[in-house]
Amino acid sequence: MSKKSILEVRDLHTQFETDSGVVKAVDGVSFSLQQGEIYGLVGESGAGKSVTGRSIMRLIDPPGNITDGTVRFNDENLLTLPMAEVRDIRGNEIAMIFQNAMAALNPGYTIGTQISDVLQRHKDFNDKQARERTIQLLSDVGIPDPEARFDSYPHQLSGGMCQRVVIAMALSCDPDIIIADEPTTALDVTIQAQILELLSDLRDNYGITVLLITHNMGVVASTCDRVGVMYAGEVVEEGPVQDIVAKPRHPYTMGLMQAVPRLNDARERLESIPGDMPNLLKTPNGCSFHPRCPYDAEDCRNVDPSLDPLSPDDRSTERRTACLRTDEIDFDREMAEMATEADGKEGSPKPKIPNRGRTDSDPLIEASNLQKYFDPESQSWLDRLIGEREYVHAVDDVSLDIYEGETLGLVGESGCGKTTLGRVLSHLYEPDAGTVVYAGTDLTELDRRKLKSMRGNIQMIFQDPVSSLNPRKSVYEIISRPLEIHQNIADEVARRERVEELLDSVGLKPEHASRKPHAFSGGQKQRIGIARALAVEPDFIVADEPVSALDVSIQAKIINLLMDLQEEFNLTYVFIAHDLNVVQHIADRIAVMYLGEIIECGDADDIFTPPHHPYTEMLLSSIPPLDPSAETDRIVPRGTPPSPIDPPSGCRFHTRCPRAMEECKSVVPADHQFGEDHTITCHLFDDDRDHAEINALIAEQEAYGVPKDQLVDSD
Amino acid sequence: MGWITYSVRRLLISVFVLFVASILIFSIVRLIPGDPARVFLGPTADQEAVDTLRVQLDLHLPIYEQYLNWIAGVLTGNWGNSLINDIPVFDLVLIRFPRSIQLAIFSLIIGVIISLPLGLLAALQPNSGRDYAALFFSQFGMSVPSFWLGIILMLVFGRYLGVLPASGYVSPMEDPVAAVSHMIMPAFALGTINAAVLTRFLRSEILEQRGKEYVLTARAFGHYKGTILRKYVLKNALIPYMTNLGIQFGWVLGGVVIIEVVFSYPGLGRLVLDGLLNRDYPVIQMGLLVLISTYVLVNLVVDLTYSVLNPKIRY
Repeated sequence: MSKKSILEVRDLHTQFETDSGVVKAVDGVSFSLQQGEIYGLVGESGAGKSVTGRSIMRLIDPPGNITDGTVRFNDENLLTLPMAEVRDIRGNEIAMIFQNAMAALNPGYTIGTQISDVLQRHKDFNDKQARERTIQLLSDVGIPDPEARFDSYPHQLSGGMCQRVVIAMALSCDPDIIIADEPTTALDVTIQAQILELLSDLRDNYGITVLLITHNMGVVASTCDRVGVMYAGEVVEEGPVQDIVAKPRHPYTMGLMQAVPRLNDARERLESIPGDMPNLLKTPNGCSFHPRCPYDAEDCRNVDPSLDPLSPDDRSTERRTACLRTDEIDFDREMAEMATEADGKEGSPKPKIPNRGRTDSDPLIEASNLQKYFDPESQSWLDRLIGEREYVHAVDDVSLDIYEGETLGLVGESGCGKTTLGRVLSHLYEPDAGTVVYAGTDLTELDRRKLKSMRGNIQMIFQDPVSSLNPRKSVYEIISRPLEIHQNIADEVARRERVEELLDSVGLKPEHASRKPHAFSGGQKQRIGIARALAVEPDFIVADEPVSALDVSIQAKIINLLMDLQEEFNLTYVFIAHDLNVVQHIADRIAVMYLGEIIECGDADDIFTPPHHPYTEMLLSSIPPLDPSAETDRIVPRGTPPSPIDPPSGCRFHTRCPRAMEECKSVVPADHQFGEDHTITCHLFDDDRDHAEINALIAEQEAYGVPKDQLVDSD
Repeated sequence: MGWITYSVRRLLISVFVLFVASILIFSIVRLIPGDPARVFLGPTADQEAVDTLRVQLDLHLPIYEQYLNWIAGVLTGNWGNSLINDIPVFDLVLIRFPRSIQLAIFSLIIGVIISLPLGLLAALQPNSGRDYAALFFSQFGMSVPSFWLGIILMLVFGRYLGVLPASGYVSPMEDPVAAVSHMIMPAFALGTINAAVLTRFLRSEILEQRGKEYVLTARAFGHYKGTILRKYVLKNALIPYMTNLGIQFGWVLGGVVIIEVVFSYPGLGRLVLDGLLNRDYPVIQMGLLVLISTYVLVNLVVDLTYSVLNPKIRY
């Protein structure tokens, strides 16, 4: 099984000289790409994946420096070639695409010009030929109406479209290799699925080799052929994707796999890797993972393990791992324990998990007919004056009950209004219409003073722990501020005691109180944000994407913390997230939002197993499966969400719905009770349509499959 | 929404701003305590002369009629006569205004000629010797008051070296060389601040552009350094530079008043100043209105140009 190796990285070292010392971002990385494969480079932030990708292209700027190693491509070492020759290779034989496609395109030129420029830089094309080829490329990557799009500027396209444009640019000169650095991280799951599909197609149709850099294990599992796992500047394990995912041979890989929440897993504590990624200024002696490794032994602290093939009697010689104790650890049993837990759920009828919140009592929060519109950014005061008013329909006629002690998950694509709804529920935004009744009190009717005293009961946790903490205040000041405002603890000593108590409950130490936020890692900052929310002993917390900025291993810890705190203080959560795996793991009930409306709401188990609403189904099938062998009948999601300024008529989802019927275009669907406490807003569940008919319809759709042309965005 | 709609809207905003400005200017004269006619003629003038002047200035009419008459006059070119020498204000402004514009544009050109290369040189090698030199110039230019710089220039080049005329004005139609030699010192005194501000602005804009992801992408696609500098860095850095240039023009218009006095340059600024000293109300009103209109017009042109250069601004 020896394919032709097309690019060989050997012993690559890249360092950054900073004021506080030398950061060894890439510390002896070796791997090779084989013709026509997708090789995944996976790891958490700071592992050195992106720097590896850029080092191959010699895109390292001062204070960074490639200090050692070779990158062999076409019998030449890219690292010693003259810069002029490297420039001839860039974009021509090796192309690179980046995470934020919108920012990767020059805002001052049309996308067509930018692609043509690359063509004319490397190939002998005149303007007309370049234009024709560009239009061909745009159509190859699935951009509708490529002739017209040629003259579009980047800001006129959606993020997913821009990523297609960048991919078209990468394809333009028929490169041998594409290096894709987190190409889908900035995109919604539905768009991510489309882009990954496109990358796989390129490999199949053009034989292009792809180096896919990502932190997302699901993306790796569903797309890659082989994987290298990076940790602290080194590759710690390498092998075919199904082996890495199912049979890891390095404790770090195993930890990563266990930390990922999966659909249908039990709603219990996630496994997490203790500690944080080491500071690359001073990597630990011996194995760099040993301070966090549960199998840490004497040797591990002294000997730096090399990336060696697994023992010859193991069936595959492609597997390599950098662990001294790999033969001693029974990885398979560890993984098997997890698998049986999951299998137990899927195979046998799943035991109904009791809803933590639901009692027969009245709901803690009753929101009815909430509406919140915003003025679009593009609208000037003059437009408003003249009267051509338009609104962003962020939240449109949403009614929702939240019961004490439960977690309500709020999911949907970006721009669906979930953040706005969260803020209206916590009364950070005053709704334009509708009421929020909190424990019997209508918040919308309270005057300012009463509202202020109510605020102590409702708190928020924000997505970005960096920007939601004041960088000039110490942790003590940050956490004690709400105490001053709401609880009037005037006594300095009592306040300090309370802060230390709070720090302890979120897993930080008392001595942390005097430090400023910048001294903490991302996960720790989020803990500070949680401590601040808890300070005033709230009953209800709206957590807006609290873990989406965090790495997998840290994410697991924060989710565990949130669940522990809920139990300890009997908290009620609204948990907003775009990651269905995470929501499914933590939520008792889930509400699915689309373009400002809740289109499905019910118990977590009822929502996903099996999915009922076509949109829920689409979201669900967008998640890259963690099991690479799973040949799922995935619906490839279509298109991008329409503008919330002018939502489609009838059912708002009909423009993208694979099951759309004639009446969906004009008639607004009603809410249907579907089983106990499960509401679906969809014409498929209209009363006059009996269930046999629905099932037949679904079966018919599935047999038909989704036509290829529906892969295309339709914006 | 196309460019035309945007332009029409932008134009409407300018008209609105001018309307507000005209009310302010109109009020200045009326808000002076006492009767403007009496203030002009002095306490010893007889009542008959005062009454005649009141009629001449429309002061006997209700306030809204005064404003409407004034605006109608402004729009029809009937700007009234100077109270001092009875020459039509329109003719006075017609002579003086082009001279001031000439000086302002000349200053701005000096500002651009200095700042463009200096900002570029500084940004191409940040923290190098030449970068520090450019930043020093920039700091110096922003700190020095233009009238002081004007006096120093006048002393050095006019008095001690005697290479340039220390004051006065010559029309470029009559003698282009003499015209430039008369204008160069006041223009330089004014333009130094612009050069200083623009240098620093351009430097930081270029540095910011160089750090953009699309510049990294351009490098990853093998574009030549020159292409990247031209099409990616400069193209995007010069758009805000242009806007800033428009703002600078407004500052220059303000600075012209002082520098014209320092160099005895007979422009609109001196006309307004003399008008103020003589309480020559028609001259003050129209001088100010013309200055403000120019400022509004320049900003309109800058915004419209900006919307052509930067496709994102169009809505």
